[in-house]
Amino acid sequence: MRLQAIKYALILACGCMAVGDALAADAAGVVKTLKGTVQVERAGISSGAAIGSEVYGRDRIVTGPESSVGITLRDDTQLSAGANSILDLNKFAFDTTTHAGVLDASVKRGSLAVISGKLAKANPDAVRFSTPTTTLGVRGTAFIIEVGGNGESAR
Amino acid sequence: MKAVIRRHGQASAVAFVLLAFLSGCSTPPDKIILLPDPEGKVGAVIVHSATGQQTINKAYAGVDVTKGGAIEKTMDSQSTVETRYAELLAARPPRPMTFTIFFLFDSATDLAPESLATVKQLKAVLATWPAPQLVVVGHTDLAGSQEFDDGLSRRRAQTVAAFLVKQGIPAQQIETAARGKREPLVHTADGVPNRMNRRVVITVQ
Repeated sequence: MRLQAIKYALILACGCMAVGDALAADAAGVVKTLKGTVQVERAGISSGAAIGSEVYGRDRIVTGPESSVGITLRDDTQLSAGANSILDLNKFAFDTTTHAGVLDASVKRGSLAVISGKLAKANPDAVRFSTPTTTLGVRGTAFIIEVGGNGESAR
Repeated sequence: MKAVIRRHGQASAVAFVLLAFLSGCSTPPDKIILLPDPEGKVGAVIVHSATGQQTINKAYAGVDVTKGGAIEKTMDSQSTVETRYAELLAARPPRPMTFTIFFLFDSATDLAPESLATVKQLKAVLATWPAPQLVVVGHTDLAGSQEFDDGLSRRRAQTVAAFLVKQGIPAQQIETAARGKREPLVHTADGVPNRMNRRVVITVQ
């Protein structure tokens, strides 16, 4: 009985958190640098990015030949993707009061440079980057990821 | 003539398939390389593959990971990495910058006298910043309950946001947040007033 009560309390708490996230349906980050052709795919629709464009959790960012893009996420994480790259921002959430949240991104093709931000500092396990062959745990730092060959073809 | 073209086309197709097959056998590995962070500190990255795990914790050290999951350690020099990834590194966004505004004790409205000069510096930075977004985060010292300090730090953030708007910074570029007593600049025992902790930190992203 008591266990069940706890279970319901948890469900309720999780539900409320989900609502909180939905309310804070802010952008995950903003495009700060851009060269060449950069597309952002959101819910199946692809559009050209520009400096100042917002990116959201679940977006796919695609750069063309001789192209690159730099994005600052809301927790100060700095990303840059090189030419011919596909970056999937699978999940992003950041609570500005507690610094709790999640960052999950995959480099499907090409290259990515990362300087980790407040999420990795507050809770390293909340931050995960992956490539077709690896998953990375981040302990407050900067690094480069380069996917070999043509990487994974698109989903 | 047509037949020749067709035969040529078939030969290319065979060559293409063969090449694709060969390159499939020797797909270059995924590479991970650790860099010092902008402050010069070196953290760590833990790389997991299908078959193993490796921690990288030295600047310019890295791993190559094959499709099968085999991990091989690598060590590059700073100049090799900076040359090879010059375009990627040049595309990094500007490092977020912070500006701090201090408050008088228990006040959510009385800014320390040097605030105006700080805002002047801030505006000079904003003039050249790409798509600037300001995150205005209120903090308190460790005097007071968490609940009280959350409210006080929120009011401080709002005071500074209003001050910035008055100084000519567009409101749509400003977001406020409140950290209460969670992130003191100077670590003290709980309950201790401290001027340095009564502040608002403005981050330019």
